[in-house]
Amino acid sequence: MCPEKELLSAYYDGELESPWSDRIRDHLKICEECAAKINGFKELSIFLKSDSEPSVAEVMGRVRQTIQAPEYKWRSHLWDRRVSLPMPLLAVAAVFLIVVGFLFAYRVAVPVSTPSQVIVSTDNSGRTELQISAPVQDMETLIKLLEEQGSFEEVIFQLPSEGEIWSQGEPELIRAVDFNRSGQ
Amino acid sequence: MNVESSSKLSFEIIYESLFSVIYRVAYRIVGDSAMAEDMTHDAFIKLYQRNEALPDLNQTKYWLIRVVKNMSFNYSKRKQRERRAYDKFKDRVPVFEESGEDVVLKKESKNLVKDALEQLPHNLRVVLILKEYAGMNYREIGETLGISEGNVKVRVFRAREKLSQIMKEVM
Repeated sequence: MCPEKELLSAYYDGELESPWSDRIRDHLKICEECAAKINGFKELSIFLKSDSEPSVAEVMGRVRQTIQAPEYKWRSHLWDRRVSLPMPLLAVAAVFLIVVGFLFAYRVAVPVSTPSQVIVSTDNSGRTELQISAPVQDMETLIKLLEEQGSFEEVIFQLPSEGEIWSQGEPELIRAVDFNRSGQ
Repeated sequence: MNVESSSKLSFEIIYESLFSVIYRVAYRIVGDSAMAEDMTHDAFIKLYQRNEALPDLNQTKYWLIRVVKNMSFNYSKRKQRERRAYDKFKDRVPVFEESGEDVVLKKESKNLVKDALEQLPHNLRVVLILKEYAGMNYREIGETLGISEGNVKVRVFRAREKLSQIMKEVM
């Protein structure tokens, strides 16, 4: 009985061990069909090696020169390094970055007003002086603070020395402290 | 091949020992000497820039073969896509008939081995190249490609069968 073709191929490659290789060797002496198959494998190997290959020595010298060039010697390995991360972790990191990005963008787009400050001092004549610092954007808080302090002899508004100020409509502060126009 | 830790092996020893086999594998996949040179160059650069040392010269060889095989097949695939695109374009423009002399010259320069290998599916082609040109045994091929020795045996046989068919058609 003839061995399987795969076994013949493995025998031709010298991959079969003792009892099997001996049996096939004996079989090949009496079976022309299997011997022809082995010959076919031999012919294939000869065919595959029939065309000339380029000279390796020349290529080897050229490639060695480029590999030993200074730019490869001093090239940083850090940038070429690849890191593999599990997909769920990558997704969580991406969501986190998007949320942080949105929060940051929101803070930049809508500047947060600094809280109002009240400094209380008494001058030589015994008068109480209140220095209230409040952001221009947050007039509501300033008005509320003024209302909380009761009545004043004198109110001085000091506008920021830096930056440009445009007059646009009727200032909210004036409207708030002005007389009631509808009642006039 | 001596089994020695690649951290102890100098790049020069690895280069001298493995260049020839790596270049031959690349050449048999891409079928072009200049491209094979580029692929081999890039594979050694990758080894040069690798941070972790490989355990020994054999493992270094398997690693380099994997790298050069993947790069070479990627190049071949790209080349095939370009060829298909070119053929489509060629169909749209008038083609002048070739003279008898041109046809003979083309047939002469046609590389039968390269053409036959190109017709093999990738999984069969690579085992046959490693067997016939790199002189590797089934265990080494299996270790390089991450498949069992039994699988290598089947693939080598199928590659031979397929190649015989191709040769009958071509010749």
